[in-house]
Amino acid sequence: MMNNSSEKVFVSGLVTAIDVKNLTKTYINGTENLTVLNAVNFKLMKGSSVVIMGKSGCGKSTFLHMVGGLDSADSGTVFVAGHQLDSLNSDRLTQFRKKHIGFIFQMHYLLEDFSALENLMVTSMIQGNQKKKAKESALTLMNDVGLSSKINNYPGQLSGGERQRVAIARALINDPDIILADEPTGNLDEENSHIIEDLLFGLVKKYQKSLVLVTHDPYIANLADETLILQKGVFKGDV
Amino acid sequence: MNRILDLQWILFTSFKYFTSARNKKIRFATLPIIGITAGLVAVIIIIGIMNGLQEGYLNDLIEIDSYHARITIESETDVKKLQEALNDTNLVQNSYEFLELEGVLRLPNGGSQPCVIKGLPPNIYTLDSGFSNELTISSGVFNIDTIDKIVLGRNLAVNIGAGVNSIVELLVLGEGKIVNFVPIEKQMIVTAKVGTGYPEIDDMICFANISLLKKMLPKTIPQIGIKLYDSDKINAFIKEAVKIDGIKSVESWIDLNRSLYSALLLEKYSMFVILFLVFVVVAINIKSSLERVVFSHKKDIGLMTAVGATKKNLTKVFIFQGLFIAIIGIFFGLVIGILSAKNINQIFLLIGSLIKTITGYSSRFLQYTFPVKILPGELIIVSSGILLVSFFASWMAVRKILKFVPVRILHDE
Repeated sequence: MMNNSSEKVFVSGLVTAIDVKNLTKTYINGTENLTVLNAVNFKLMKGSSVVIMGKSGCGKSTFLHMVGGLDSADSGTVFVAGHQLDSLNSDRLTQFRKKHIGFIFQMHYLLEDFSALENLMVTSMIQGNQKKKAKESALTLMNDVGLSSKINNYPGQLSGGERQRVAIARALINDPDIILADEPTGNLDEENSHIIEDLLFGLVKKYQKSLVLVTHDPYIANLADETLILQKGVFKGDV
Repeated sequence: MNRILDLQWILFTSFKYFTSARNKKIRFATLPIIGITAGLVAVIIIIGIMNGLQEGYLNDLIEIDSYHARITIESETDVKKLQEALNDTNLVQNSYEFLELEGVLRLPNGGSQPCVIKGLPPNIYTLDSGFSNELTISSGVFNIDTIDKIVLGRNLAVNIGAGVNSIVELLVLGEGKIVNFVPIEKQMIVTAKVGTGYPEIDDMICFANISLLKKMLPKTIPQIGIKLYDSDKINAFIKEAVKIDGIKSVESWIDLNRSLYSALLLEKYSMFVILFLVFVVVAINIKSSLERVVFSHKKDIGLMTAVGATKKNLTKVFIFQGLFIAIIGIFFGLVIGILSAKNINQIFLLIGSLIKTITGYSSRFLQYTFPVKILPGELIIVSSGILLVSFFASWMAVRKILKFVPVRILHDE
């Protein structure tokens, strides 16, 4: 349901999870201006999943960071879970992320000094949960991602796929409205990638989360509700 | 509630980092902890000995010379009634009349020297335990039960060449204005030589029966020397004493020794400042160590910001590590410092015998018995100071976290 050349609307419920209007971002590289997002429009309804594909450096991650309140736009507005992000100061953006967003990064970014379980626990405790409750939630999610036998392993003692599974569990532990995944299988082999992708989409469905996933892997396109390609700063048609 | 929950994850994270293998590998806490421990041990020993020496000196002064308080009375005051009233305050252990004069002491065919003669009750040595405890008898027996007996400070005795049973001549100036300002002489027998260990006192002082001085100077009104149960309650005593009839003025031991008291305080504060420089060096060490720790956890900081930790709370995670260093250093410093200070004389003897074994040189300094006094209040002040300095150093190291841009960190990593 394309509204114009660069707007996509995905309907899976009545509530809008993400609403992006005329989002523009330009990087200055020496004397050259590089516009990675050019008046982008985007809408995602609650419970839907969308995959964003595109060449390296085309602005996929930048878009994800802006939707997650980690980066700011030059112009345009971003509404996520009812919040207009450009109107929030740094502290309120942090509160917003804490409540509404779960991030999964290409590099798992697990805390090396914490065990797998503690990685989940500390994220839950940052949300404001007590240690006991954080541990209970963490154990449930470790079980969901099939790592209940490795809760005390440190990231260095886990394989790449296992680390990414912990990262997925961590993204879900604060029960966010939206999961933003930035090439979560970018560092994995094909077999492991498919395991992780199936797991991620399965959990998103189970916990009824909205998902925006950036990837190069065409396999994922089959799992998402819709697929977009970011090209020359705008979203282009379906894959 | 939110703050308590925040503190929960901050402490959890901070402790994990503090005990992590990565931090242990770079030994970021080892040097600062050793620095704080060593600094605190030095402070406790040095200030403990200084307190001991100063307190010993002040004790000698107030027990032998100035008393806890001196009361000047009206000429018509009934001394016995006054003493009863003073006892009613429940603060006074002893009170007695005394006279203090300057004079000259001479040994016939020997030397002569100016002196301070104190006229005291004949039973002073048994009456005032503070007096007898602080005074060391070098030779003879402290006896001033008749007016022809005198006890000399040991240096004074040496200076004029007098010993026990020597006959000395005491000369004091008479009372009144210029016309009858004539010297009075009295021959006396030395019954003892005594010392306090402080040349300023031992060079000048001698003790005689107060009846002698009353006889020599009948118009001079004796003062009342006061010994309290607790000399630190001097202000409470003065408050009560000024209400009693017949008292002209009350001077406390602090007033009487103000310049000395101020000098001792100044000496102690100066030592505090000098020793505290150790902790400034440690603080610099904490700062540079924590800067390394923050740098090595940059990725974690970016991630935790992304999942909802505020930068302010993240600074606390690392500040707590600085405080953990300080707390551990203070703990070891207090334990080792107090144990060392309490046994410092044995330690010095051990060092002395080691030096003697190795070099053959015997140091008298290391054989001296140092008095040590540890004041809990001072330990609290020093420990709080270390915590404050460590907090400041930690804050200086971690404040750059506030300027971190999480997306840039995650992108760079």
